[in-house]
Amino acid sequence: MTTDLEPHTAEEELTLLELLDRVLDKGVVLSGDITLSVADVDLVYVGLRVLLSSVEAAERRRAE
Amino acid sequence: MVYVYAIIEAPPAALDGMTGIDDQPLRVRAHDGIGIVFSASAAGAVRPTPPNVWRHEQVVENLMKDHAVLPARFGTVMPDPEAVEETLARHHEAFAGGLRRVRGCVELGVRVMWQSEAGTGADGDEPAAPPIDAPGASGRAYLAARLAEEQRRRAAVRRAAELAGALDETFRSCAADGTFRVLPSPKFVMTGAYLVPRDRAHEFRRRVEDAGAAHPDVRLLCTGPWPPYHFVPAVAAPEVARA
Repeated sequence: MTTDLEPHTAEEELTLLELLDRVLDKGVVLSGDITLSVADVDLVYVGLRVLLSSVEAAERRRAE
Repeated sequence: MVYVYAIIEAPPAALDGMTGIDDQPLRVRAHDGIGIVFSASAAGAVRPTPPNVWRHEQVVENLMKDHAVLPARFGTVMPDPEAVEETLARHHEAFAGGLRRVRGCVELGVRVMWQSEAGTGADGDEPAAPPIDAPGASGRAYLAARLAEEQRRRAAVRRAAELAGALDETFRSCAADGTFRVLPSPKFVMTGAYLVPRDRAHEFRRRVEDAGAAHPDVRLLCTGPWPPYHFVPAVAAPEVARA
């Protein structure tokens, strides 16, 4: 599967994190029928962690 | 199989022209004023790829324009439309209550970040503890550095709890409901989700901006409007497939 989410700014990266925290982790659960595997969800977040380190790098650049 | 997007209030007879994941046309089954929106789905799990996640979100956001919605968790599938109808009948009361609660409201997200690395309890201006086996390092210097590090970490935890409490109070006063987490990761002081009446969303955003100006050691980001993902009734425990 792909995790090339391609946000362009730090703010977009954070918005994407906000989206995933909602869509993958919240919302109505109907009678135990989520077929999303834990491994899948982890993969998406691992992809995002790479992005988040670039968020931190971007923040540091801005601060300098 | 069918893939479920959301539970909506006052469902129309058909959702013409709207498509979901894999460009499948959206369908709706209704029962006593409440509907479940779904589309046909090939057997097997819908993968959490970025296009699929965004499509799920777009469908729910579109529905939110004209209806009160309870968004479904990504990855919700059912065997057939009859199972959708059964679910609707079984949980009708919970869905009705949930829809009443979110009617006219949107969810706004607040993410609070430390402005500098120092606040995170990570290495600030002071050097980290040298490795115990570094040449010339004394055991005492090592322990002193470790102690200083621990004190910085504790101060950051205290500061985060204090800030999150104060910010939550500010935001909650113009929201119908809210929930927040302190230090979800060392980088973030707090993440919060607030259920805000649509006509107060602007005021809420202004409040976040003002809070940013009032607290120079943190940076605040307000996201949304989102569908009310954090404010849905619990009707069943998630039973996530183990891969």
